[in-house]
Amino acid sequence: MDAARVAPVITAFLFCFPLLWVGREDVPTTFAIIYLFSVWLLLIVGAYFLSRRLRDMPGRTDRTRR
Amino acid sequence: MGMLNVLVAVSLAYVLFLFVVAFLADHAAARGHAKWLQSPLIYTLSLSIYCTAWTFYGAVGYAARSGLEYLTIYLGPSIVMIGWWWGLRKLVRIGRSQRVTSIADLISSRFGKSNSLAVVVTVIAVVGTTPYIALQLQSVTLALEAFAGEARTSAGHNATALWLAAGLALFTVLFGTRNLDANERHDGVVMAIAVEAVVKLLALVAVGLFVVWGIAGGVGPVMEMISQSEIAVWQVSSGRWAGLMFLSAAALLTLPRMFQVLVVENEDERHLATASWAFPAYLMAMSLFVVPIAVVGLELMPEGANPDLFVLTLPLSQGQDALAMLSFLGGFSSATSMVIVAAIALSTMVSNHIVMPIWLSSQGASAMVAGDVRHVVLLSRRLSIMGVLALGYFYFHATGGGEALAAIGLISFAGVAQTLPALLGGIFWRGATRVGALAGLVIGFVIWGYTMFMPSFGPDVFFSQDVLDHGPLGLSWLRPQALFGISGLDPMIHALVWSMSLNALFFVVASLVSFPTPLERLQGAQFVNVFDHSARPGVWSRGAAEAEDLLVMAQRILGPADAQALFRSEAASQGITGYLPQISPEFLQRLEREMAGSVGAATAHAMIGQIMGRASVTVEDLMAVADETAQIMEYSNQLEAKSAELVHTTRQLRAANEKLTQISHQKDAFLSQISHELRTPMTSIRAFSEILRDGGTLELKAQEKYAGIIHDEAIRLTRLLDDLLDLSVLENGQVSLNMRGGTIGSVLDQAMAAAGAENNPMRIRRSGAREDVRLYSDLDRLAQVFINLISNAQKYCDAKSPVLTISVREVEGQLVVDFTDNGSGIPKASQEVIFEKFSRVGSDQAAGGAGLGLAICREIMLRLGGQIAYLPGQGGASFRVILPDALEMAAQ
Repeated sequence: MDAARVAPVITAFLFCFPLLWVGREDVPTTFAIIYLFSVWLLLIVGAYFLSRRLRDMPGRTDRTRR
Repeated sequence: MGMLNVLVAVSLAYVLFLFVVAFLADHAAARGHAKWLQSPLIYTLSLSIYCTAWTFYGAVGYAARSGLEYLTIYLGPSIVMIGWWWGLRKLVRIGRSQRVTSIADLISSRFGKSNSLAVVVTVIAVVGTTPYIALQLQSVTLALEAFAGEARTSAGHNATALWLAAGLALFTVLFGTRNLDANERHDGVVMAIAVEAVVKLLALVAVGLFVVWGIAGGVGPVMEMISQSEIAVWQVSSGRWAGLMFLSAAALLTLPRMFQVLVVENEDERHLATASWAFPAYLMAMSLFVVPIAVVGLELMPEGANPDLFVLTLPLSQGQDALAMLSFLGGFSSATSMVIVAAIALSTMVSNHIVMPIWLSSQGASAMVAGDVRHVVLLSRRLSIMGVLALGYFYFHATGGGEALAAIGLISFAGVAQTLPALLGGIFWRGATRVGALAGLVIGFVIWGYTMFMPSFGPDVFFSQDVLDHGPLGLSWLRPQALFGISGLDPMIHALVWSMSLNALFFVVASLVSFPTPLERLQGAQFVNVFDHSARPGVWSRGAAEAEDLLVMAQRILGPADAQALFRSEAASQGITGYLPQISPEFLQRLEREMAGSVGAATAHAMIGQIMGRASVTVEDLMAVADETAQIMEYSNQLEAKSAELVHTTRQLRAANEKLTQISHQKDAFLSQISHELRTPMTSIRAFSEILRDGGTLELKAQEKYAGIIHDEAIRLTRLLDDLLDLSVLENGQVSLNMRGGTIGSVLDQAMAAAGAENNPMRIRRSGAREDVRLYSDLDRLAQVFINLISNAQKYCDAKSPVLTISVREVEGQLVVDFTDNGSGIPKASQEVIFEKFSRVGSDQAAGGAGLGLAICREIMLRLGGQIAYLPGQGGASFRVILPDALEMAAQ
């Protein structure tokens, strides 16, 4: 659960990381593409395992009543 | 031209196919075969309306112009989806528990069901979305023209867009307004969207694969081409990178169409878990081939070709007509699915928050009169759909489908993002108020319009070039793209920073300054703490309304069957047969929520308010909203008090139990004692009477002796029974006292005479003149006590020359009489029990007493208001009799 709370922060950080390259002339687009897509893929896989854990969590007593 | 005809035919066939899919899905859902329709996969695919034609065509153009910046549009939503646990989950929960129909409904519901807020949000949404719809019309039109291979006349241009808009309106009306209850899924529409999501992904990936392996010849060469291209070097402005990421993340939450599929159409919260990884994966797949397509397009296509259409024109230029067709269908899917959902979402908002309130107020109090409101709602919704599409078309027509539209995507995002502070503040901050939300929304919207929306039309539409350069009326600090003299910023970032920061600032400050109404507090608590209490406390006070009136109204909104089922189930749960339940606040809440699913929270609230007369918030409701800390403290205080009470009660119970046990023991002892006491004389009476009966030869003397024993024992028995009776009378308090005046001396004289003191060897010493004290009491009973004490002394005093001293004194207004002998006294162990029944000192049976004397004395003294006690340490047995009231009584 805490991992789920931290996840967006980590994601945002990783996606903002390329900002550090701003102003540098030696970072090729290809490298940026590879970096961004691998991070993305990694996060998706992470989210997949996280969501499986969260979905099966027992603390679902708070479901809405209808 | 033949190519174009084929394309039109294929498109029509595709649309027909979508109709069939939607129809079958609706049909299946209606028959309850909708299990697979409600799978997380369908949910995730329906989210893909985030990727519109702007994505499908525009992303490549974007990449061709600005490199990797286009990725931010997909990275932002990925952050939100991966962080679903934090925000989306709550949003969906609130949406479901409050039966929210749109983002305007959610915000209005949160801030006290305020319709003015809903209107503002609706206006923002319409203004923000209309250009976006126009953009979709434009992209399809452009794509068609690309196929036709010729620039068509502007009339044909417009005609295509018109036909498209009309067709989309028809589809949306047909499948978007079948169900009135927005909380029921639009299964047909969602299914069609899911199919379109697959088509557009397939199309883009197919084009991507063709470009990478068909044209460029593999991944390596493509990378090489990228390095050679205009966008070879990482060049993004950090402001734009972060700003766009934020903007797209905000847009995912606030775009009306996204809210529709994310929250309103959500069937199960757990679908979010799947979507949290599947949707980012979808976005990644959509954006994976964008750069290769852009680079290859730049390389191969002639100078001046529109990079926005590379997805289409690249396969065309390579002679891949089938692929181009698929690509066209992909773009077509992107455009149509977005327009359909946006139209549904906007029409719900317009109909619920603008048309219905106007209609209701124009009807006045006659809203209760017969007539099916559902028809009105449906009609207004259908008209709204057509209105929204017409607006989009006119926008397209007015701007002539020019290049100005290309930038509209981000402008639209920034517009609807103005609802973000109110939305997030509403669900995470209980202090947020209606006034704050209104202030933030209006200021944000105005700044956005001034700095972004209006300048986007270029000079001389809203602003002249002069105003853009020098500000209105020459006030340079009001320049639309350089507010407060801060120039040099990217216009988009400039507008975003100013609108969002001032929006948030006004929202917070106005919330802090203003005071929320009770209803706002109530709703606020329910939204912010939605996970803590899903059921909401009653808001309606029991009014004068009849259940029948409510049923009439509910039937017109929910439909007769649903309304009757609702009323019946409520009545059943209350244990009433029939259709009319008791109008409890809970029932009104439930009814209101059901109706909110059809006409929105504000309208439902207003309609019930019309029947009920007024809404009121009870003290209990407010108590429920009271700060949790206070609640917890209150609770723990209650617990503490309860546990203290419990301890107290337990102690009392234990004492009572001990006493009961003791009494039970006493009773047992008493019974065994009394049977023993009765048995002893009876045994000797029986024995001697048997001897008398059988032994005829007994001498007369012996006979007399035996008869004497029998007589004595009988007397003893009688005395015992008399004593018991006496004691029982005294103990029950049934004794009647014979109060009269006299002196203590005379009572003592009487007692000595009765005890036979004249003939007893015991000498009795008295106090003489001090005994001349008058008292008022039951003198006979008092004498009985004295007789008992004297005769006890006579019996038990073991001195050789026994002396009994009777001293009478007055101590602090009390008359004290001590009886002290010169014997060996009573052992300490026995002192405590001598006043108990049947207690005798030692084992002397000789005295012939039953052990009831002192017990009787104690009871008598109790009745007389005095007491009797053993006085230790007097050199012998000593009893003290205290008569507190007797003197005073005598004095009167």
